[in-house]
Order: sequence, then C-alpha cells, then structure tokens
Amino acid sequence: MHVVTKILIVFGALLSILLSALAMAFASNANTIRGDVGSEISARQAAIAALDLERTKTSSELARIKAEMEAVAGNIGKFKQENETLSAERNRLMAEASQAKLEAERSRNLAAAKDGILQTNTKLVEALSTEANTLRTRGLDSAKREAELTERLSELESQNQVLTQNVRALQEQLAEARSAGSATASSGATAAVAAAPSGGVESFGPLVTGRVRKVVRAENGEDLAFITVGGSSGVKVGQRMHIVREGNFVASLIITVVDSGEAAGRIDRLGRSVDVLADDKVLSRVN
Amino acid sequence: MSQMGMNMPGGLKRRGPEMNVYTGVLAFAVVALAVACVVLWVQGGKLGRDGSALSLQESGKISLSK
Repeated sequence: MHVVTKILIVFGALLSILLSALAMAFASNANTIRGDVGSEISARQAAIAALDLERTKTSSELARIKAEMEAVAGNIGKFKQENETLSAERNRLMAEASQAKLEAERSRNLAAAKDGILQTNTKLVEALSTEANTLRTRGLDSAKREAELTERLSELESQNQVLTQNVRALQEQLAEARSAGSATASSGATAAVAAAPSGGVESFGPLVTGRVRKVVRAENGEDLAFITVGGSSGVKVGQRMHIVREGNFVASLIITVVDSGEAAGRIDRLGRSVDVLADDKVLSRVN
Repeated sequence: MSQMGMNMPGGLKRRGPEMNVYTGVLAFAVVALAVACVVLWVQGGKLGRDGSALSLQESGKISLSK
C-alpha cells in the first residue's frame, strides 16, 4: 500500500471522526433550537392572539373614540351654532343696552327738567304762600282797621250825640241870649285856622286818643306838637288835650289847627321844664 | 542480489506499492470529508453555543453568535 494511500486513510479517518462529532453537535443544537423555536412560535402565536385581542379592544376603543369624536364634532357644530346664536343675542342685547342708555339719558334729562319744573313750582308755591301770608296779613289789618273804624264810628256816633246835645244846649242858650238881648253867639265850627282860647277848653265828650307825630319850634319861640288825631276824631280848635308818657302827665296841648285826620297845637308845660317827644300819647281827657 | 536492492542487468526489476484508482477515490473522499467538515464547522458554528460548532445548546438558554 502506497504511503499516500495510508496517509489518506489516516486523514480520512480523522476527518470522519471530526465530521461525526460536528454532525452530532449540529443535530443536537438543531434539535434544541427547533424546540425553542417551537416554544417561541407558540409564544408568538399567543402574543399574536393577545395582540389581536388587544387590537380588537383597541379597534373598539378607537371606534368608540371615533364615535365620541363624531359626537364632539356634532357638539362642536352645535356649539358653533349656539355661539352664533349667542353672538347674535349679544349683539341684540348690546343694541338694547345702548338704547337703554339713551333711554336712561333721556329719563335723566326729563328728571332734570322735572326738577327744574319742581323748583319753579316750589318757588311759585313759596311766592303764593308769601302772597297768601301778605294777603292774610292785609286781611287781618283790614279787619283790625274795620274794627277800629267800627269803634271810631261808634265814637263818632257818641260824639254826634254829644254834639247834638251841645247844639240843643247852645240853642237853648241862644234862645236865652236872644231873650236877654245881649251877647252875640258865634256858631258853626270850621276846620280852618282859628284863634284859640289861651287856656284851652277841656273836652268832656268821648275819649280821643292819639300820638304826637312830631314837635317843632315856631318862630315866636313856642313849641308846637302835631298829633295823629283831627277833626274826624272830634278834636276842635281851642280844645285842651293832655300829653302823657308811660302813664305820667307830661304837658298840655292847646289845639290851634285842626284838619280831618290830624291836628296841631301849642305845648303848655305848665311852668315845668319837660320835653315832649314824638310818639308820646295824647288824650282828650285824663279821667 | 535483488534482496539487497541491487538489480542485475536483465534481471527482473522489483516493483513497490503504487497508487492506483482506489488511492484517487480515497483522496477524493478525503477531500470531500474535509470540505464537509469545513462546511459543517461553519454552519455548526452558527448554531453552536457562543459560536462554537462543537458546544451544545441548553434548552431555554439558547445563545447564538452575533
């Protein structure tokens, strides 16, 4: 046998051993890997099944989400429509608010005008009240004056009666004088200036009351007093009147001039040094 | 003389072992075995533990070469 053949036989044997070892290892590994691959395939199928289940769940969830999105989209449309409606309502309310503001302004103006009218009415009422008070005062004054006039009328009637009695007395005296044939009587009193008796004549008729209006000094040095009563009150020329102040006698007044509503006379201080003042009271008699 | 390795002229020449057809077949088989070993080594390395063609895998603990 050739040496090459022997060598080839040896190499062939070694390679056969090596190949058998490799083949056994390969077969074992292949078996193990196949088993694991089967397990892996089972696990993969289980995972796929789980994935399918999860996918189904996800699909249903996705469908639900889509439905919700569609609902939300519908709601969005509805909300948009409501928003448009609300915008229109807002615009309408703003217009109404503007109109209300204008109305309020007009109301304020009317209120201001009413206030002005009210103030004017108040002023008118005050003026009317003042006028009514004035009229009431005037009425009271008129009533008082009427009462005074009534009193004055009664006084005049009394004076008339006195004068009538005086006339009768004078007529009787005149008759006596005529019968006696002496003494001339002067009759008729005038309201003009006349000479007065120097001492004056005391009046015994109704009480005449007046006031000293003013006191003046005459050129002859005599003091003259003007009083507020005159012939209409029964004051006569030559009559002695009495000037009093606070119930105290001051001086006598001899009437020298008589008018219808006033008179004037000479002040007789009876030798005393007293001053007659304006607004002193004048009486026709003191008792 | 021939036992001594000497050939005599005209004498029959002694012939040694020679390669024949079986040697060639055996050489081809050796070559095929070598190729198969190489191929199986390479492919076994892909399945073997940590890339080794002769190491065995454990079930549930497969470790392949990258």
